[in-house]
Amino acid sequence: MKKFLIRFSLICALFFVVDKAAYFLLQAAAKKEYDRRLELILDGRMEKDVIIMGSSRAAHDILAGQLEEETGLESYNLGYRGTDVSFHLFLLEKLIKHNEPPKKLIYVVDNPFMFSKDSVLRFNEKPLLPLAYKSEINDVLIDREVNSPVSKLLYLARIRKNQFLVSQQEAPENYFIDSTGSHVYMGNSGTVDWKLDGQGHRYEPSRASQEKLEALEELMKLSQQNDITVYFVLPPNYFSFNTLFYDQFVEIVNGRFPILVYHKDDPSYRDKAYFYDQSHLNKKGATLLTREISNYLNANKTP
Amino acid sequence: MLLVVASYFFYGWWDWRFLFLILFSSLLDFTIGLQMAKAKKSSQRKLLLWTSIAVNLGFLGVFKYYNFFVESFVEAFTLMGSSIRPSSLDIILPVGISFYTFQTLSYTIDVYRRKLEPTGDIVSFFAFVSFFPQLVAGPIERATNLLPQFYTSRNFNYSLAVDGCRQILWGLFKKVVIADQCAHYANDIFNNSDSYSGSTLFMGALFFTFQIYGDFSGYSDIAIGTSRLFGFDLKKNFATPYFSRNIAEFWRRWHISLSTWFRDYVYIPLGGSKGSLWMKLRNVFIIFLVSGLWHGANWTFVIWGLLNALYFVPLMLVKRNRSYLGVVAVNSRFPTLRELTSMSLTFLLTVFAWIFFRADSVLGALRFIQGIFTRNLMHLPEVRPSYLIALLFVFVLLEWSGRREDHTLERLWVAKPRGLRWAFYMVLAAMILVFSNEEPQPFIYFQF
Repeated sequence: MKKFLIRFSLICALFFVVDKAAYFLLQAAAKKEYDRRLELILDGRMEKDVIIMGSSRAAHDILAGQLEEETGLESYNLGYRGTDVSFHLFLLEKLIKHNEPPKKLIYVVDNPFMFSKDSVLRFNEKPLLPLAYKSEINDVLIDREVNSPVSKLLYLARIRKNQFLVSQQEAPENYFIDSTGSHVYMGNSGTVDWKLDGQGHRYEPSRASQEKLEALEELMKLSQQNDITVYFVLPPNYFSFNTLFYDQFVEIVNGRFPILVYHKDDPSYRDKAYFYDQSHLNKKGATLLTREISNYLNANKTP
Repeated sequence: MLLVVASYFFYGWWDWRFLFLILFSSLLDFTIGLQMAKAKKSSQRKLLLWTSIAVNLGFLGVFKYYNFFVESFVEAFTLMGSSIRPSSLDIILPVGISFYTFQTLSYTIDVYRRKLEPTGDIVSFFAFVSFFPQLVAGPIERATNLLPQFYTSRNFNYSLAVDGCRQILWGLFKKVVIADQCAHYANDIFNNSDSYSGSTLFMGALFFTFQIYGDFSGYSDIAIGTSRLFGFDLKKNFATPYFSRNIAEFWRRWHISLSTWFRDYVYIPLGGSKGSLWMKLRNVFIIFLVSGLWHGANWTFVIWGLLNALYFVPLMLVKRNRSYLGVVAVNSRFPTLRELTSMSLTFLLTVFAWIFFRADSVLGALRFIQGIFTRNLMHLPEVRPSYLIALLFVFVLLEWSGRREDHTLERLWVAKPRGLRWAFYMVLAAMILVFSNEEPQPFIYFQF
């Protein structure tokens, strides 16, 4: 038994040492990613005046570069496709932890999916996976049961097989990220059934996800504590405006931060030429919306 | 006693309510065994045996087959034009019930046949029924092999423990690296079979063939290896079945503990291969149908069993069912062309049969097979993960090299210098860790 235990311990110890080489593999793999915005946050290279946050509507509908030109404020877009408010809270926490907090946060609201339990919006762990070599990211992945607790000890338990790829990862089609983090859509999707004009999505405020409601509350508190002004933006949308969601949202924000609505029944917001699909603007639409936001920020300058 | 507590804790972790079921089964068969020893008349012994069979199979019937039979009756009545209101129950299948029921039944049958002395050691008997490494997915142990091992005090055996570790490592590799990776693609192809070409559907069937082998034989290796660490020696459950030269050999090498159980407790009592041709055919069909039904309450399993019976019958008719009792190419490194051809043919037959095993319905399986032959079979498959194909190729080579052993790693690289051997084990462990980060899949046989 003694001999067995000694040899077993020896091979485990040796494996533990060899495993540490995986750290360098993970680090090298992270550098091949096409979207390295989260890495910039964690490395303290995200010190901007204005940060744009939200899901794909944030990523595609607001052009950070244009905003910077029009307001003179350094801006960056941290919109991630398919993400929910709990993911945005995570981003804000990391942003504040590793960087000087931004002065303004433009938060793009997903009417009416933002609090919905059944929504496709969720805490998307995918952007975190390449950075699992950092313990603070791995801890989040363990909490979310994406990585096993073994990964606390072993780097090999943090690697995915696609991280063995040696070539630079290419951005998926129609997912070009510019130097300010925005993703511009060109033209129309071509697969959209525009006949769905005006058809809204159902939403029941009573079925809102408690986790998402709490995350929004936390996001606002954190912003207040760090003197960040949040501008909640409801961008133009080809679906009809859900007032049940909007009323609930206004009640939750309770006047703490401004809410900018660009989705009224104004016909200029319903011109197909400005949309990529029902939910997202194309470059023409994003340019127009960004200009409107710039005008608002310039007209409401804070010291 | 420690093993009983550990085993009950292990089982109760899943659902403590079903502990009462396993406790009741164990207590019943322990008592019946003792009563059989006391019984003077053979009719009393027979009554006790049938009580055990009825109660154990009764539990299995209620938990596993009740809804299946109710739904099948309803469908049959609907087809005949009458409609009846089904009263199916919301029943949870206790994990491992098919395995421990057969294990405990083997005890009472062997005691009845006077092959085994009934035990008076209740703790050992409870440990035999609930032994945690093989409780939920086998191998189905015989009381004649496992029970006596609980009577003796065990001394730590270095070689057995080291070999156990190797077998666990190989079992984990088969499950995590081979089975779970294949599952990812097999699930995608089977779930979207209408949108794939014939060649891709064939790839899907091929991936499932490796998935089920890696999954189930991997679990068996982990169970046997873990038992070896505790000083127990369990029966071999798989013997490189995909290198079989005909379907009869396949069934001597696949899920050996179940095949031999059915052989000893169903096939031989029915007359086995003795008697008229009609009797032989009847026995073969019964054994394969029961074997199919054992896997689950679904017509797909019944058809899978029936198909295997159809594969087997021609061999029996030409008396070739016991042609290959040894290991293929036992004295050479490579198979002969004839061996390679017969292995490939047998493998293709099993791939085809697994389609029924994997499909959600018989109609789904038939559509899948039709798709293989009618939708561009000769085109390049849309799904062809090169890393997995390379992995499977290496896996088959490693399995081939270990075909004469109890498990693949038993001798593989054992004679090499320690540094090299340990490096090999570390590569396997590293692969297990890396691949365990991708969509883990539950063991297929936990549902049986």
